[in-house]
Amino acid sequence: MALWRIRAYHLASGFCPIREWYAAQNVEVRAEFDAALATLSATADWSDTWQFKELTKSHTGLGEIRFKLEGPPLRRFRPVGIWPPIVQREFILLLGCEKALGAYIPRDAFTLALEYKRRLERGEGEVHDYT
Amino acid sequence: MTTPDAIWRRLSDKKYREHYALSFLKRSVAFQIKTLRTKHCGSQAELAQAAGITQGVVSRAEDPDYGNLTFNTVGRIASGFDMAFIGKFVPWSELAEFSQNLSEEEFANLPTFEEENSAISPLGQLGKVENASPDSHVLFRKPPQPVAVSDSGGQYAQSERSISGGGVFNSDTGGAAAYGAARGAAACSY
Repeated sequence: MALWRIRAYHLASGFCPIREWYAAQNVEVRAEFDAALATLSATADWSDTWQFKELTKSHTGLGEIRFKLEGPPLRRFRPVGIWPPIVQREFILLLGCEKALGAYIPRDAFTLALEYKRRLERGEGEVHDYT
Repeated sequence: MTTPDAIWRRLSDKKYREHYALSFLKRSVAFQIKTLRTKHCGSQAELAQAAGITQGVVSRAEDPDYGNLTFNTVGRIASGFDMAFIGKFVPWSELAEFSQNLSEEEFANLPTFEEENSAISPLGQLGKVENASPDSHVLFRKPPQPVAVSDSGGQYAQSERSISGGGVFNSDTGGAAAYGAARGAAACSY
């Protein structure tokens, strides 16, 4: 059984950023992301895996899932969630993100993710299982 | 967590399932290697030594994005764990179930050959493995099978006898205890 529960943040309007991002990706990205989630869910310690990185400094409070698609062109993806977890072994996905040429798409991904996190902490929006 | 229904629905897209199967294959093999290495060997260098490969190869094998492992490398790594790796074609439902139920615990508790052999009754054992004769009469031996699960872990049948290919397997003599005692032996330290 999976060790982790993957969840998704929904804004008060019902809009779910991670779902929207997922739906906009092509089938290769979606499959890669789902496979990454499957193995991460089975991994107890996320601090010791190539598939996840805790963010620091101005992005403290967030963590990014890391996966890539071989190219050309090589594409790197960094879906972002809340880290450390609010509830033990529950990872809340906030939004999807791609890293390209040192920048992020969307460009303000981490600012936006921190804003979503703040909204959740204020009780705005909801968290649902990511399926 | 993705539900079985959700996985199955996504697999209905042929292109998706092709990519998912490939991605899950490379990620789950890397996942297994890292889980087994952490449990049995400790460092990548120790596994590398046991497998006769370099630490860099172990590092790549544990990289879920790498995806270019050869059968030879995986076979050597399996040898380093003293376990077998089998490639197997399966229906999509089995992939869905496997990915849904993937867990570190499943792989962290896999026994090495020595551990399995120790768990088998004296009649079925090869004895000290290094001295086992290649023309041993025990051609096919069945490892102990879990028959019940309790809070304290798997229990093996107290009386189980089967005849397979001319070899007799008998676990009357406390296979479970021996199996448990053999657990934890470092697979890489030989």
